[in-house]
Amino acid sequence: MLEMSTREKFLFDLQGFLHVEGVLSPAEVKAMNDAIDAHIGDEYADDFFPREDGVGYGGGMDGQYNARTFGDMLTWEKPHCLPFRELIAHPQVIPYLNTLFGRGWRMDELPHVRIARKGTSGHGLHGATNVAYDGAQMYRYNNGEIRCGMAVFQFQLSDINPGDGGITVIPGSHKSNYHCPNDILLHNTDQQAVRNVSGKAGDLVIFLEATIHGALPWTADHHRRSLLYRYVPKYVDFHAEYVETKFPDWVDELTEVQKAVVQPPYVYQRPLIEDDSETLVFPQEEPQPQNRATKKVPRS
Amino acid sequence: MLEMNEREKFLFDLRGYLHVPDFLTQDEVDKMNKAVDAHEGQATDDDKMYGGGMLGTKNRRGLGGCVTWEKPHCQPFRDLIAHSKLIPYLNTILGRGWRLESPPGVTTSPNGAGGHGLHGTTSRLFNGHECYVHTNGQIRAGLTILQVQLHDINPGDGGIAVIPGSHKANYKCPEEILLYEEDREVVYNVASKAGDLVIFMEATLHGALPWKAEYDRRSVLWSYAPKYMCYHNHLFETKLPDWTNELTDVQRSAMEPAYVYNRPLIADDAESVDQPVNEPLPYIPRSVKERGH
Repeated sequence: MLEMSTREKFLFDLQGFLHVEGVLSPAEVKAMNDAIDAHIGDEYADDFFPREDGVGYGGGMDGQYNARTFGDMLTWEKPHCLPFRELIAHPQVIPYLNTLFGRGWRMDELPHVRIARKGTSGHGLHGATNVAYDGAQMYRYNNGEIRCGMAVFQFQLSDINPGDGGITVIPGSHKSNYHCPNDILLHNTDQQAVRNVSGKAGDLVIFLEATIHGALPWTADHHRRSLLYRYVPKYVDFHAEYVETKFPDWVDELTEVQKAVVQPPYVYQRPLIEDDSETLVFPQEEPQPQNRATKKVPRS
Repeated sequence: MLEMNEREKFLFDLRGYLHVPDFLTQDEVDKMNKAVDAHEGQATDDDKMYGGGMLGTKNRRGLGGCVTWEKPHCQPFRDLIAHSKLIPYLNTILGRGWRLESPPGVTTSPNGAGGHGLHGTTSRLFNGHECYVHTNGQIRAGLTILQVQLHDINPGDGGIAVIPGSHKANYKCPEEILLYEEDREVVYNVASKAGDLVIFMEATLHGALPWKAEYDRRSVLWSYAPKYMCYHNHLFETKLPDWTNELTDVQRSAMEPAYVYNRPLIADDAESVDQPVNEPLPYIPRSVKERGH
């Protein structure tokens, strides 16, 4: 089985992320940037970032603008979809996926391109860590083998120089046993624990949903262009974004609570059975993320 | 959130299984037995015979499709899917949002039926779909199996057997133990009454001892998974968007829905796919046929 090198395994286990230089060739980076250039204007403002209503993360994450996102590159007209389709199972990336998940891994949701101009706000740090076990967002090591929940593969399509902002992690936090204070999640204090991963266009940064991660406000004159693919083990579907499901007719005869229990796998807005065993609720997520920066600071 | 009590949590964490007496009422047991009586002719054989202490003179037998039987016979099995008494156990083991993985089926083995070799993931390697974890006061597991008895299992009758504590084991279990030939004292045959429930995990070494009672064994088995997980995909059909037909086999394999068995796996040439039953291969005892005697 194709695998990461011993050095890469050491660094990934230690830090909960890995910076791999030069994964994409200049030609691949150019093809993707050309495709994005051809679709500028179709992107949408990212809800994860400060909203137009003026509610943002604040603190060290504050900025003037929303990041913008593309999420439909795989269905763009040819040839613009092709470089993104080739990344679904790129030969350079397979050893990393095999090592993190074992063979049989799957792409969890459709990839995204995140674009930020100078002055764009950051994305508050968040991550599952090891405070509680969440099988969809975890890191484990047993008898020489790494196993993970959801992992993000972020390819840079423009350079990130030191101090530019963008992708940020707290190295080692995938093994943390205590809640991360909100001041750290907002990059207000203890900034030395936080690493802004600088790199060149074509570089790859792999990090886990278990690792505390986010993005610092973008300060460079050129735009940030980061491409994000999310992968999971063979048995996980986190977002249930692209697989259509159809149930047999007998399921129509079940009660609402029974129907909730035969739902396909997914995490967000799932029907949950209340303590009366009859009522369903649909929270965004349960349990609430253990480490997520609050987003209740009015933008200055 | 409804949860297991402290005693139950202690015992489940310690042993990797839990015996819950009187889970079903006599009326519920009677309805299920009546439904099974009406469908007994549809039972099929499992001809995989294990040797050693698992050897029998007859095949194990079972009935599937109980939730699709005609009314009223499907109803008691459908009522198991989100049974109100089940909710605290599944909330505790899987967290709310748990999902039905395999609908109820019935084991109907006769006197003389061979056992089912012990098997389970343990803690030797971490398989997230077959795991046991305890972190900061919270239990979490992968595939979790429920077995409710429709006939009594008296001591020595056979049927459900577990190795208590094996969900935390770090070494391979020797095949002689998996086949109930050696160290039998570590294996526990869970004697129980009709209506009792036994909860165990795929992480716990489990199986069945040969059935020795004069009457048939009748155990209902069904399973659950955490909200994010699909193991068998017995419940629904899946379809990928049409544009994925333009992808290569390797690219398409990365967009397969979530499931475990017979999955296309990318080979080392990064251009072709293998399709083994499972990877890594589960550590299970060999059958009589596989051992060549």
